Amino acid sequence: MSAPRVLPDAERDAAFEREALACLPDVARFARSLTRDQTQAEDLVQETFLRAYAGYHTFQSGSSIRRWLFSICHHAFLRLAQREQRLVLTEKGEDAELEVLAAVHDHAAAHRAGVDHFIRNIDIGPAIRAAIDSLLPVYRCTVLLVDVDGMTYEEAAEVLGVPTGTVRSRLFRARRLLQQQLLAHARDAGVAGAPSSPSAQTQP
Amino acid sequence: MTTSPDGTVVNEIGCRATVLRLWDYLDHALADSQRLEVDQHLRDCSACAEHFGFARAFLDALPASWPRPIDTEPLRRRVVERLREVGFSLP
Repeated sequence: MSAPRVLPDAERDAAFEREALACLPDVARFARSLTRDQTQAEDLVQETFLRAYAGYHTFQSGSSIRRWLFSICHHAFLRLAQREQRLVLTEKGEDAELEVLAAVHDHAAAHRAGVDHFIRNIDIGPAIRAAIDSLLPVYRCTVLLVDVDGMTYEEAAEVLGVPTGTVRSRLFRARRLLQQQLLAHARDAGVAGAPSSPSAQTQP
Repeated sequence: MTTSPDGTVVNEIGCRATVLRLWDYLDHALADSQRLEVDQHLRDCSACAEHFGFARAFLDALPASWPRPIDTEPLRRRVVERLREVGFSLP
């Protein structure tokens, strides 16, 4: 990794506009996923770019500025949320193996009830968004980084400032919670009755 | 031991070991040897293949559900205005 850059002011500002401000739509989306509120998200974006500008000389050229900005955004959100004492940082049950087994168990039950096919057949976008919004922030931002934004476990860990194993366990738990909500949504919507082959009825 | 279609010798694993690798497999986070073991099991086990198919469809639906911000230009102007107050200048 190369050393922090020391640039003349005009050059630094031009680079900041070209590199950092170009990521504003992505940061805005991430901020919206953290806050779930448009006004708070815009304040968070503003705070993120102010902090990024103040610390731009510490940015390591060659690394991902997008992840650097996401990390600043996440830390700013944590500070804000902790100040307002509305953040639950951890939750019991973060065991990756148990979560994946539970997810498969839930799918097997949904398959037996004939509701699992809905995920391929109807527009579940609104239901997914509602389910993601209902997650605790620690799970929501992990899902957004990995499943929506396409980051690896390691990249998400860098943004969130946690070990890779923590990202993995939070992600697996979040996915199980989302699947549970979506399958419940399918049952509530009356999606049932599809012929289910016996294959997935076998419990792992 | 069994042999994959490309001739590689692969350890046989059971259903439990396979589903425990479900998310790591779909996230491309497995070592090659572990991935081949899952591939081999999925070829032979329709129950596990069904679980993996559902999980893949679920993961595919997530990014498609999330809309991009419609217009961030007003926010960008606000941010630039605020940055100017602390010394930022555009050519």
